[in-house]
Amino acid sequence: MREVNILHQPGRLDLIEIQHEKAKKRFFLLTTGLIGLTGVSLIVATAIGRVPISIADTLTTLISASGLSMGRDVDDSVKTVIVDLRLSRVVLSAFVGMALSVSGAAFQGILKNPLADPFTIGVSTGAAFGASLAIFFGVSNLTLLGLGLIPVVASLGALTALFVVLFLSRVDGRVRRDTMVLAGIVVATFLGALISLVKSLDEESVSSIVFWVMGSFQGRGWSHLGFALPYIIIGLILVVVHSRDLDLMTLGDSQAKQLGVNVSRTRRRVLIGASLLTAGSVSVSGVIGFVGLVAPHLIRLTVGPDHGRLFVLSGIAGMLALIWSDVGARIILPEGEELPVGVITALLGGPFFCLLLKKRRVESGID
Amino acid sequence: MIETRDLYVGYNGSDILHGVSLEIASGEMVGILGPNGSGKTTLINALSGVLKARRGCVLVNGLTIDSLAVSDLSRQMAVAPQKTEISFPFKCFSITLMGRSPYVGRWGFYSRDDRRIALEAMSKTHTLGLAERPITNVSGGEAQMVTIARILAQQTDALLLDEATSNLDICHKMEVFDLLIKINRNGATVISVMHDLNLAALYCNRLIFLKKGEVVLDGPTHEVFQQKYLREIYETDVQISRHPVANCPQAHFIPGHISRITSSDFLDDFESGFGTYHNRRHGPTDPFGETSPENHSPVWRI
Repeated sequence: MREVNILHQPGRLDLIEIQHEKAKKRFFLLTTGLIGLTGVSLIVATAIGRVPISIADTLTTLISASGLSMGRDVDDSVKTVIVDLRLSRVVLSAFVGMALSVSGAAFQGILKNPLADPFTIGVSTGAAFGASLAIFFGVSNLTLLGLGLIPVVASLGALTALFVVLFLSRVDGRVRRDTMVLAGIVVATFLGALISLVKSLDEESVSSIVFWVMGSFQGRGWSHLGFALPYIIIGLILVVVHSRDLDLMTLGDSQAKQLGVNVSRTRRRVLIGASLLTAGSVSVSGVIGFVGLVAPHLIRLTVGPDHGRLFVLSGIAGMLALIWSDVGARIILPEGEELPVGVITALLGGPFFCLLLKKRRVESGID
Repeated sequence: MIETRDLYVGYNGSDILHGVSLEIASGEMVGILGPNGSGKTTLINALSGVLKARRGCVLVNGLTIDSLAVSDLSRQMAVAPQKTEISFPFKCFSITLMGRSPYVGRWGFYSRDDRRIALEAMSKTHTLGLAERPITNVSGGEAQMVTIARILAQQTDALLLDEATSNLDICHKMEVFDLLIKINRNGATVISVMHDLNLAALYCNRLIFLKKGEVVLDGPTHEVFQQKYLREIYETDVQISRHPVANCPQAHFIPGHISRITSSDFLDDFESGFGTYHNRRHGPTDPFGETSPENHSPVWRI
C-alpha cells in the first residue's frame, strides 16, 4: 500500500481554500457585472424605438417617475411613451427572459438532460394552444382584470399540459424522468397539430396565432407584468429553494436519497415551479424559444454546474438576452413593422447553441 | 445495528426478496454474495431506505427505517452504488464534497471544515489528482474511487457498498478494502455486496449468501466458505484451498463443470449441517429476546 499522504504536503487545503475564494469572487464579480449591464440595458432599451428619445430624457423621466425631482422637465407625452409603453415592455421582457432561463436550468437539472427546456415537457405548447383557442373563439376582445382573456386561457393551457404530462409519466406512483420527456414530446406534438388545425379553420386569426406561437411583446404592458409576476415569484422560490438538492440529484435518485434529499418532494416542487415560470411567461409573451436553452448552457460553461450559481447567473443572462432580442424585434424591420421576438431568439440562439455544442465536444475530448 | 425482519421487497409489485431476516451488529465487516439476480442490490436499497418494504421491516439502531427522516439516515449510513451516471461536469472535488451535504442546512454553505474532510477523504483514496477534473471526464474506475471518497466524507457509522469496486483493477480494489478494514477497526459497520468470493474471504469476517431472494447461507467466513455450499449456490464445481499468506479460504472454480443442480441432493446436507449455527450466533445476543423458533427458521434454504 502506498503510504504517501498527500495531505502532509503543506498547503493542499490552503490551495483548495484559495480556489474556493477565487470561484466565489468570480461569481460575485460576474453577478454584479451582469446586474450593472442589465441596468444600463433597461435604460438604453427604453430609449430605443420608432420615436427616438434621448438617453438624457429617458433617465430624467425614469428618475422623476421614481419620485425624485431632477430640476428639468420632459414633455408629458414623451413621459407616457417612456413609462407606459417602452419601460413596461422592457421590464416585462426582462422578467420573461429571467423566468424562461431559470426554468430551463431547472428542467435540465431535474430531468438530468442538458438539452431539456421549457418546451420539452409541453408546457409552452399548452399555453400556445390555449391562446390559439382564445383567439379562434374571438374572446380576445373580452377583458378581465384589465387585460385580455388570452393570458388567462394560455396559463390554463400551460397548467393543463403540465398535469397531463405528469399524469402520463406516473409509473407506480412515481414520476419517471424518461417517460416524462417522452410524454412531454407527445403532448407538445399533439397540441402543435391542434394549433395548426385551429389556424387552418380560421384564416383570419392566422397572423395573431403566429405571433403567439413565435412569441411577441407587442402591445404588452404593466398589466401583463402584473399577471405574470405571481407565477414567476412562486416559481422562482420553489426552484431556488432546492438548488443544492438539484446538485445532489444529478447523482441519481437513490444516491440523492441516501444523501438525505427528499427526492420525490423535490422533484414535484421543482417541476411545478419551473412549469409556473414557463406558464407565467408564455401566457403573456407567447412561446419564445432558445433562451431557456442557451443562457443556462453558457453560464454552466463559465461557472460550472452548481445550481445555486446557475440560477442566479442564468436568470440575469436571460434578462439581458430577451431585453436585447426584443429591441431587435422592434427595430429590425423598417416602417415600424415588428418581428415576433421568438424569431430573433431562434435566429441568434440556434447557431450559438450549435457553437456551444461543438465547443463542449472538443473540451471533453469526444470529437 | 442494522436489522431486517421477514423482509419482502421488490419493484412494480413483484417481490425480489422473500422474507429476509438479518442482524448485522455494529462494527461487523460483512460481505453479501450470491449469483446474479439474487437480490443483493435490492437488499442494499432496502437497507438504505431507497426501497420500501412491502412486508416486514428494516431497523436501524432499533428504529424502523420508515420512521427515520432521510436526512437523519444520511448521517448514519453512506452508500456507494454500483455505478453513477452524472450528466453535468461537476468537479470530482465537488462530488466528494456532496458527501458533506447531510451536515449542511438548506440555506447553509459548505464550511472550511467540510472542505478539509472532503480533501482528507480524497487523500485517503488517492484521488487528489482528480480533484479539479470534471467527473464526466474521468474513467469508470476513477469515478468509483471518487464515489468511495464521497462516502468516506459522509463520516457515517455504517458504510454500504454495492459492488462499488467492480470496475477497479486489483490494486485499487485491495486499496479500497485495506482502507475499509481500517475504518471498520475504528468501529464502523461495513456491508459490501461483492462478486469476488476470494476478495470477500480475504476481508470479511462474515459472509451472507443470497439466492433467488432468500438468505441461503450466513455465518463466519471460515465456516461457510466450504466446497459443498459454494458448489450448491453457484452451481459450479469448486475447490477450496488456503491462502498462502493470509491463511483464509480461497475458492477455485473449475472450467467446464457448471452443474446447474436441480435435484435436492444437497438439501439434506444443508438442513442437517447448518441449522444450529444461526441460533448459536444470534440466539443469545438477540436484544429483543425474540428467540422463538419461527424467528429463527433455518436460514440455510436452497
